[in-house]
Amino acid sequence: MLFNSLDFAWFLPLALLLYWSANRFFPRHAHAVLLLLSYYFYGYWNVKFLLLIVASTAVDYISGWAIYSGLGKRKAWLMSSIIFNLAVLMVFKYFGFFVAEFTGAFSLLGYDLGIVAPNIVLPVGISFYTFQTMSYTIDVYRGKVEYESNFLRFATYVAFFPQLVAGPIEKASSLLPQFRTKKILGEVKWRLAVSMIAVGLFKKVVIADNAAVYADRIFGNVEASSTIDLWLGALYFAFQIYGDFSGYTDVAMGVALLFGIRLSVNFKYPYLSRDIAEFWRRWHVSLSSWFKEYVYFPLGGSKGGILTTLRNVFIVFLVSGIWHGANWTFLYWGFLNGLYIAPLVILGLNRANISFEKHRNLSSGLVDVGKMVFTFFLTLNAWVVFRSDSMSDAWVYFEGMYSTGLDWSSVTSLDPIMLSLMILLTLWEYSRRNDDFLIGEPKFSSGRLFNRDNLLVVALLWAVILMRPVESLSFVYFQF
Amino acid sequence: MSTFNFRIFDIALFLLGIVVLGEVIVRIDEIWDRDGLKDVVALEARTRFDNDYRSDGSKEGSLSVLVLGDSYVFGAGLKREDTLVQVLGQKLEHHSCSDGRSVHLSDRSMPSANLADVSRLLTAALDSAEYDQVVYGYNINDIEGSLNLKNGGDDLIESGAKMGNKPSNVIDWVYNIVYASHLAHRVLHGLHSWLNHQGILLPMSKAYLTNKWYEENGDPWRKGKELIIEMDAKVGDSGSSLVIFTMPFFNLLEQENLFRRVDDEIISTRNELRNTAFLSGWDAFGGYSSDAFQISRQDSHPNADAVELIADQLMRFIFRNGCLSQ
Repeated sequence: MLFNSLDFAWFLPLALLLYWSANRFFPRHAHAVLLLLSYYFYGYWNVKFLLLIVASTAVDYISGWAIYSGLGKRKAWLMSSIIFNLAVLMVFKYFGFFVAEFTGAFSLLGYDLGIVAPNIVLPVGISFYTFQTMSYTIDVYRGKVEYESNFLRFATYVAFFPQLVAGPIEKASSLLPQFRTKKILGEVKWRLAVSMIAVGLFKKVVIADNAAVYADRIFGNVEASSTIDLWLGALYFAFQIYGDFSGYTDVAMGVALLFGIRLSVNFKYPYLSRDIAEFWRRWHVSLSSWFKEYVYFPLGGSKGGILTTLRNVFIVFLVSGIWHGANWTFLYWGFLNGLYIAPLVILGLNRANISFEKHRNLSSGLVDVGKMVFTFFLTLNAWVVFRSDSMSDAWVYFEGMYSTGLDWSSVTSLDPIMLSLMILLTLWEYSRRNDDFLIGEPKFSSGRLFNRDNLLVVALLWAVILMRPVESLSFVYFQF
Repeated sequence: MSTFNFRIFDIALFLLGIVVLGEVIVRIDEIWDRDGLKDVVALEARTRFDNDYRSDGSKEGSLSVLVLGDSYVFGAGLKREDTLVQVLGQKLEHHSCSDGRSVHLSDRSMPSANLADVSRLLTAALDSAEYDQVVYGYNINDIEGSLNLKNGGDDLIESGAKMGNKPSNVIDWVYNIVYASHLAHRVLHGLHSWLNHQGILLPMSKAYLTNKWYEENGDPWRKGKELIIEMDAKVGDSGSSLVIFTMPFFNLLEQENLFRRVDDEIISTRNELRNTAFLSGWDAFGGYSSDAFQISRQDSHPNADAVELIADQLMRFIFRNGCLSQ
């Protein structure tokens, strides 16, 4: 069920009614209703894959219990959980790719193994919920989070529908306790929730889906596109993927708020980053934090000198790349980001711009703006690799982008309205750079209905209804 | 009391803000030509008046086919090579009758043509040349428009003429504003389409009235039948024959039940006709997904796949029946 579909427009009010009724009449079991709603939401795509979520949930619940109660060797239980989850990912996400590459390598040597790569359907959101459930077991093992004895509550944590299929990947310590406390309808920040949903749908439907029209056309017709069109194609894709993914997160956060649950901020205006290290502290924050905590730190982090740090950085980015999908382009995309960060690590500048987190003080000076533009330029190049179907396609794209001669007469994809919308979004984010959200909480009760924030929400909702492209598109990150 | 007045004023201002913002955004969207599609379609429509089959008349020694119809046949929204006339023409060119005659196609389709227009076009065509087979892509709404009948449909369409008249009261003012509002048109159109897709015809809507005319043998349909009988006689007098393909509403294929009776009503006129055969579009497409056969959700004209199927049916008919004529 897509957030931007009519099905979801029916589902959400009904789900809220059921959930808040449960909260009213049997509050201790309200999470069970939420679990049923979440399974319905997921099963709407494919009921069979619900079994996978239930299996993953059961394995990590049992592992958590065994680790907590000291049944046998704790590390063995931890490893069994990790191996199970990685095996699920391996089978559903990477097996076909490895078989194809393996047989391809042999055919290069002249041997035909006669093996056909299996066409395995990728369960939606598998990378998100397996990482989330794994983090629980690891944290129980480390003693950072309490073991959850209630299976249904734990299952709700794994399957909570707003963030089930595309994150944010929530740590147990931040999300699980929220299912233990009684929710009060009067405390729900529904005005903030509505404004977040409006912003999210605007980013997805108006920015991302319309940008996709151009990006798809240019990436699907690279050799016939002019240099300027290729640059525009990269620009459109940069806004497509940002609008798509951060839009999903905004809607997820807004919907979760309606259920009295607060999710982590997953995007902190990433295109305003002043260097690539900062970009990764602002883009898909929950995944970056996951890799930092469960891969980078266990490898030694930055404690073993520059070479060890560089090794760890590259490992994290390569794993992050392959997390996105079974394709060489994702691996190279991760490697490219590692290359971008390497000079900062060597010069000790990779933590130079952490002021946003610490002081929420993003300077508005020209130098900072210049750094933002340069960082965006680097990101744009990385997105070309990410979007291309193969490395040879990416190479052809780069050849076109960096060929000489800017012939404006052959430009076909310069759309003033699309570009204006993208610029408008960037300026809007810049003006709100020191706040968590793009929009303030709309006011309805303080005497003035006619105010800027309320009208902004109205304008966004109108834009979603009136400016959507012909076809609604699925969310890009559902495939990961 | 003053607080109450303030709130009323605030709410009114907010509601006005909603309308104004919507109006601004809908107008921006209307000028937003994503991917240059509007230009392409306009260009295609212009060039189509000069397509491969627009040439006049019949061809000596060949089976001459005349094609008539509205935008469905003309190919609105499609590339030139995907239009019905072009696809049918290409198919016919690759075959010949069993007696060796080739097939020559002549296109007289016209966007927005209604039954009266088609009848006039047929007369003009038959006056200037001889045809063995006439093909007419009939639309249920072909009995609307300029049939010069004073019935509900025309009244409804012409009610827009109020716009521009000097408003005499508040209702007229509101009516004029709503009529001029692009937002109102978009929202009402969207709502109407959505209801249609749920299988509901809004009372007094065009589709509702059109159905009613057919089902109750209303004036437009009686006039329509007269025109079809006239056309039948004309083709008979010229030694030709007519095949009418009744087009379905491609955006409402799933709602076959809404239009099946109308389609049956049209086809039942065959009892009064000597030179006319019918092919039912609802038989061919009814019950299928609209998404499979319409250009897009914003454009309900038949897409290239639909055109291919219609052309196949017509080609089979022409080679089975048309080739029999000498």
